[in-house]
Amino acid sequence: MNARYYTLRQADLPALFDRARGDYDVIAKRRDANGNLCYGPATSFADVDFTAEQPRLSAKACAFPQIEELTRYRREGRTFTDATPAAPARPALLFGVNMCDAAAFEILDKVFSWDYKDDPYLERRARTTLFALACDALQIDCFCDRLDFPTAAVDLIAYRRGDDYLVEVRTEKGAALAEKYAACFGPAPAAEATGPGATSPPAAKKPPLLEEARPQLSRSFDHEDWALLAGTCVGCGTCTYLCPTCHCFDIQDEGGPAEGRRLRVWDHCTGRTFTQMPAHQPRDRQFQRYRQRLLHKFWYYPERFGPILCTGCGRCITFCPVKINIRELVEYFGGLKATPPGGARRK
Amino acid sequence: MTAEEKKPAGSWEPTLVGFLCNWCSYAGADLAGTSRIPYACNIRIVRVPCSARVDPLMVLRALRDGADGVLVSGCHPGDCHYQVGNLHARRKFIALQLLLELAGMDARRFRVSWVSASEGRKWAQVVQEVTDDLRAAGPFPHNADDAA
Amino acid sequence: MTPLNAELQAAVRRLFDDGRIQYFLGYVEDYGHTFPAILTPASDLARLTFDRRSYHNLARFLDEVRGAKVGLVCKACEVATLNVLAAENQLARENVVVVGVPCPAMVDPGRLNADSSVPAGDDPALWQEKCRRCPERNTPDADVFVGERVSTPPPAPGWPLLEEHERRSPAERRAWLAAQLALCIRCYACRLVCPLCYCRQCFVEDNKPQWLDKSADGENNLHYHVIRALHLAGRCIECQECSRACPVGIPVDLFNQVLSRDFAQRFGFAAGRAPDQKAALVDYQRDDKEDFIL
Repeated sequence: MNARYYTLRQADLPALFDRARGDYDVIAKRRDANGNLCYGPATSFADVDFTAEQPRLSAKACAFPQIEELTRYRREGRTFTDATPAAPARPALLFGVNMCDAAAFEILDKVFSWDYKDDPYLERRARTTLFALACDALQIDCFCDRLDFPTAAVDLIAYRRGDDYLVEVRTEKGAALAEKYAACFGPAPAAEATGPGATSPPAAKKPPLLEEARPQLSRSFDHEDWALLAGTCVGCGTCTYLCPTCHCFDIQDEGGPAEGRRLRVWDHCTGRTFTQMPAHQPRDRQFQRYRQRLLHKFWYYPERFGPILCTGCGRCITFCPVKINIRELVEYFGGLKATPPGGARRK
Repeated sequence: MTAEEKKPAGSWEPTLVGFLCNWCSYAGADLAGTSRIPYACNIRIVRVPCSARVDPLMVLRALRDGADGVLVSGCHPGDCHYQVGNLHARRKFIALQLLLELAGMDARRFRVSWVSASEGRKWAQVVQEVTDDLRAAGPFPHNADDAA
Repeated sequence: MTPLNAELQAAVRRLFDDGRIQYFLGYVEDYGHTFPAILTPASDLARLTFDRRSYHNLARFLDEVRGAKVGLVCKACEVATLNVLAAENQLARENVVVVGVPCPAMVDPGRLNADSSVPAGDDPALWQEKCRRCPERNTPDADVFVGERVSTPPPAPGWPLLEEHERRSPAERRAWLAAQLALCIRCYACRLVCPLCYCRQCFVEDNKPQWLDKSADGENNLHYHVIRALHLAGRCIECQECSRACPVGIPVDLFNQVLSRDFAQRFGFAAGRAPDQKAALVDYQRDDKEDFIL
C-alpha cells in the first residue's frame, strides 16, 4: 500500500486507535477535569474526542513539555547517584491533532536544531508521528488562511468527507503507519485519488499576512500607538504557553541536600522578569514586552530564518484576558489597515 | 537523644516545626526546660521576635520541605511585647487556617497557641498534645492520594 | 448602537473636550469581541461600548496612566476596587472620574455563542456567578451616570461553588483540588488581571528566598493559590476576574470566596465599602473570635 490517499471510515476509527495503542503511546483530544478539550494520553477510544475543535493548549508539550527533567540526583551520605529519568522509548502518535498544532512542529524543529541540537526536544520529536485532522472552517479568532505555514512534516492528514475521512499520507513515517494498519484504510475514491478538493489550511482568500505587512512592520518599532494598543497587556503567560510555536524556556534547579533536579520549564517573554537584570531592565513597560513578542514572531525571526513563528491558531486572541489581537495589530502596524483595533485612532 | 533514636527501630516519629515568639513562648519553652518538665522532643524550634513575624509562606515551606506539622506560638492577646503584633497575627492565622481547611489539609498539621513566659507547664502540654495528634495523623501526604 | 453606548460616547467626548480627563479607560467592540482600551482625546469613540461582555476590572489599567487625569466606566465591581486602592494610598480619587452605568449582568464567557456573541434573552443561568450575588447594579458614587437606572434583582443567597466544595471530605477536597491544579500552567493570568495585585515584585518573583519552584507541579501550584488568596484577604472585592481570565478554566477565586464569606460572618467585614476603610488584616479587635488556638 503506497498510495497517497486513502479512505478512513468513521466506523474504523476505534479499530485504528486500538491497533495503534498496541504500538504507540497515543495522545488524542479528550476532556479535562472541567470538561474542556485538551490533548492527553488516551488508552481507550471511549475517552477520545475525534473532533476538529481546538484544545486550549497546543500539542507542543509532546516534544517540548512544560517541565522537562534534565538531571536528577540523589544523595546518601557521600554517595551521589544519577537518578535522571530515562527518555521515553515508545513511539508516540498524536491522533487527530489540529493542523495549526501539527504544522508548528516543523517550525519548532528548526528552532531546536539550529546552532545547538536540543536533544530532549529532538528525541521526543523523532519518536512522534503526527496524524492531523483538518478543520472544515475557520473560527472567529483563527487566521491560518493568512499565513503560508509549512505542512510538509505532518505525517498524515484526515479531511472530513461526510461521515468518513479522506486521509493523505505526506511522509515516510505516515506511509509506514498506513501500511502497518492497512486493514483500517480503504482506497480513496477515484476522483480524489490524486488530490483532495478541500485542503487545510483553507486556501488563502487574502494575501499572506506577512508578505504584505513585513516592510511596514519593520519600520513600526517607534510607532506611538504601541503604548495604547499594547498598553492593556497584563504580562501573563497565557498567549505564550498556549501558542504552538512559542518556545522560550528557563532552566531551574530545585531540591535540597537529599534529592534535587535540574529542569527546563516554559517561560514567557511577556513577563516582567524575562529581561529583568540587577542593573537594568531594557523592557520596562509592558507594551514594550508585547511589542517584542509580536515583532519577534512576524519580523525578527522570519527576517533571519525564514518561517513566521505563528500558525494562526488564534488561541492568543481567544484566551488573552484582555483580548489583544495579534492579527489585527500586525495588520495595523504593517500598514494593511488604516484604523487601529478598537478605533483608537489618532486624528 | 533525638526522638528517632529513642523509639524502637521502624516506628515513625513526626517532625514538628515550631515558630516561637521570643518574649513569651520561647521563654515559656525555656521555663519548661529549666523546670525539667518532660515532653515530646519532636519539635524543632525557630525563634522569631513576634508571632506576627511568621509569614504563612514559612508555614507552607516547612510543610513542603519535610515538616509533618507546624506550630506557631505567641503571647496572649493583650500581652504582646510589640502591643498588637499577635492581634494582627491572629487574623492572619485565621485566614491561613481557612485556606488550609479548604485545601483539605488535616487540621492537626497547623496549630497555633498562646503561651506566656510563665507557662512552662502549658508549653509542655501543648507540644505533647500537638505531637501526639501528629503521630496519629501520620506523615504529611505530599500526594493527593495519600491518607490524611 | 444602543442608546446607552450613544450616551456613553457623548459623555466621554464631553469629558475630553472639557479637559476633565487626559485618558479614558473603557471597553471597545471590534473583531467580534469586547475588550478594554485606553482612549485619548484623539481617539475615535465610535466603538466605545458597555455590554454584557464588559467583564474586566478597568481599575487594573490605572497604573498604565499613572499621574494623569483619567476617567473610566465602572460597574459596582470597579467602584469597590477604587475604594480599596484609595484606602491603600494607591489612588488620588480626585484625579479619577467615575462614569456610572446600569449594569445588565455579565454573561459567563463560557456561555457565549460560538461566534462569541451574547445569547439572546436574560437567563440568570447564563450570568457570571458574581452577578447573581450583586447587591447594586447601578454604579454607586458615580461622578457621571449614563443610561437609565435599573432595578436590581434580589441577590441570590449562598456561595454555590464553595458550598459544593465544602460538602467534600478532606480527602475528596485534596483529590478535587489536585485535579484542578494539575491543569494550572502558572501563567499568572489570575494574579496579573487583578487590580489589587500591584506589588512591584510579587512573592512568586522573589529569589532570596525563592518561596516557590517555578515548575507547575507538586505542591507549588496549591501554595501559589493559597498565598495569593492570603495576600488578597480582606482586600478582594470578588470581581472574579481571576477565574474569568484563567485559560484552563480553574475556578481560582474559590480560595478568595472562603475568606470573603468568613470575614463577613466573623468580622462583619466587606472589602471596598469606603475609601477610608481599614482592610480586615490591617485591623483587629481585642476579642476577635476563633476556635482553634490553644
